[in-house]
Amino acid sequence: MVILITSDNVKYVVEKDVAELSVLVKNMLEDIGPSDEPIPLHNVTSTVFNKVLEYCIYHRNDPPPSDDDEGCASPLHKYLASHICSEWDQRFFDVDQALLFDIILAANYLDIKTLLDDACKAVAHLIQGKSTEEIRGIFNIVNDFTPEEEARVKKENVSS
Amino acid sequence: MASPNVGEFRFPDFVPSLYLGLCVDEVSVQGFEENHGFLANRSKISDKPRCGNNDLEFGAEGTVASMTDRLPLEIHILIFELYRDSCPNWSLMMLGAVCRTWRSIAWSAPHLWTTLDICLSERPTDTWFQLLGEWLTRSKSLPLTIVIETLSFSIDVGDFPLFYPVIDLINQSSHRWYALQISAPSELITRLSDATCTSTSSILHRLSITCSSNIFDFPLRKAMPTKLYISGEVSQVETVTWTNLTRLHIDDISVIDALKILPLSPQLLRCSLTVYDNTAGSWLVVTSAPITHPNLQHLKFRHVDEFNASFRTFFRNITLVAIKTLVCFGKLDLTDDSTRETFVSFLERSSSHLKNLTFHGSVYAAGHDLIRVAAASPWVMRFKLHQCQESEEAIDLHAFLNAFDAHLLDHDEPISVMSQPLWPNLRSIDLSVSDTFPWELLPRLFATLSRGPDAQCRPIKLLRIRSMLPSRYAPIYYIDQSTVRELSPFASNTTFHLQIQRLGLGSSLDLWNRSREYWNVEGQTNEGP
Repeated sequence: MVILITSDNVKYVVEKDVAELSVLVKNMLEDIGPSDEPIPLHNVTSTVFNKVLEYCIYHRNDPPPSDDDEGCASPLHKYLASHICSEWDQRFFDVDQALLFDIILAANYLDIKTLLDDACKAVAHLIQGKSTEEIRGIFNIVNDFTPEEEARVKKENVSS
Repeated sequence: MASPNVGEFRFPDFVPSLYLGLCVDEVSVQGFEENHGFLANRSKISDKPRCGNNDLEFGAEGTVASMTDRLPLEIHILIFELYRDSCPNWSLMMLGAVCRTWRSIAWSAPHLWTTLDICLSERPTDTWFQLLGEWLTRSKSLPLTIVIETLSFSIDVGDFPLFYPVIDLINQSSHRWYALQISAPSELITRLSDATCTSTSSILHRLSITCSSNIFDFPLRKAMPTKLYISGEVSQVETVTWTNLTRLHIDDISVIDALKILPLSPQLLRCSLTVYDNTAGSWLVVTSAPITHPNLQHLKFRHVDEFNASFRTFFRNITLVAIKTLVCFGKLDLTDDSTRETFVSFLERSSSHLKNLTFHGSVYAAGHDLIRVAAASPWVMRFKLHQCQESEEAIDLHAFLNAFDAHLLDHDEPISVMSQPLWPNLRSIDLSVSDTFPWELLPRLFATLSRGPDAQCRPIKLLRIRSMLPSRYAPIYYIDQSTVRELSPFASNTTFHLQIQRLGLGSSLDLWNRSREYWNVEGQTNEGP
């Protein structure tokens, strides 16, 4: 078992194979060697870590992600890889936007590639099929183009 | 979203080479960081990501900041990449229309722009053409995956020249083509040129060409793809560089051209050919010595001529010493002595590594024809014979199945005896036949390979048989009781998929489990309900 402490001082006792889905934790465990010392997770709160842990427990037996074919996978392969296929994952990421972004940041910090990819797919899914106005609305983004730039942008999108 | 300090907004390349440090190109971002504090700060977020429940943050002007401001640049790019892969290609342009920051991030990540999907359907506008150029520029020097399709019904022959500038622009990046897929009339395909690369600098890996008409002059001379797919006919195969090919798929090729290209592609491992006969009675090819290919491991061979002339010509003139998997499609008459003996002779020359043998289509064969084939390919582990439903004649499998224990018979038996067991390494047999199957002969497959108490059986793991009933109203039957009892002891090591299907109905019945259940009930007869 591995003891992890979140930034708000909540202690978790986690099975080693689950904890080691995080490359950060795995490296720290290798650095400190056999020890009961708790590992601090400075940048993750317990609220977010609960979700991260739920994901890691569910995916603990997944095969490791494979690299693309020399970085040039086929368009179909990319298309399939860019979709969240599992129903469980779809439910898991059906959270408010703030928590979704917190999960992304936590996955990035903890270096959990599959969680980072899946969470980013969930964000990409929010954008799919949306107009620029809708995208701005979803993420509360201000249109900061000048009128001339706006005209050019519109022309580009009509032509493409 | 707070406006980033990106300086003057200039089209088409208002973003300098900023984030390239995060991307494949190793370009310094120092100059940019000095001038663009906002983005430099974002990079620092990446080093120390924040994570908490401070859901909404306020920008400098008191407006609610966007959630996306919290993300490091590389995560922005990852999201854009996933968005690109899940949407129509040109929707990437949409990202640049949201705000300046998104535009700067998207425009400056070269690997976002390495896939280009072009559909030629109407006259390209100047703006579209300019965008195409910008797209290629944004990908910097990265390898490109390009898909070009035409809606041929919407293009008149006279309009082809309108698209020449598009092809010419694509040609300028030929040294960066990694994968090129083009589906177009030959007039546009032959416009392709790989003039900007040399034979040593070409990185083209996968080339796919679909053309409804004949390609008289193959356009790429320096490219040496490892994977080549051609749907259409190439008239002069000598104009293609076959040297590096490891995979080849051609939908329409004459048998003589097929025999020409195999020696030209010595590294070929997998090959799928749809072949027609052009020998026209000529014995020119037939009289030459068979060509030996040293590496080809997987061959799918489909012949489209009625009387197997291309099949005979091909297999008479080729020896495949490394072949592991051979799949034959099409109408094949193994009852014809010349066809069968040509194929048997090929197998005898080539079968030392042959593990998988498949026939698909209208196969005509008597039992002894299949025995000849099996005896000539002794190392086969997986045999598949899928007869198409329209086959006029059934294959008589009685003699074939009887042969599986013929090596155990005494020489004074009235039927033919074999000195060696047929396919002693057989692991799976998959038959789909258009008539009633002789189920009672299945136990022969499990005969021991020699006499004696410790003799081994064939290591059969899968037995998949589908028998077609002649009409949708044909009565359902069961496998007889003694056969079920003989087979049952092998069910722990072998998966039995024994099915019957009525002609014209999609679903099939699980004959094996029906029969097992049926015969476990005392007092039932073999007549069925």
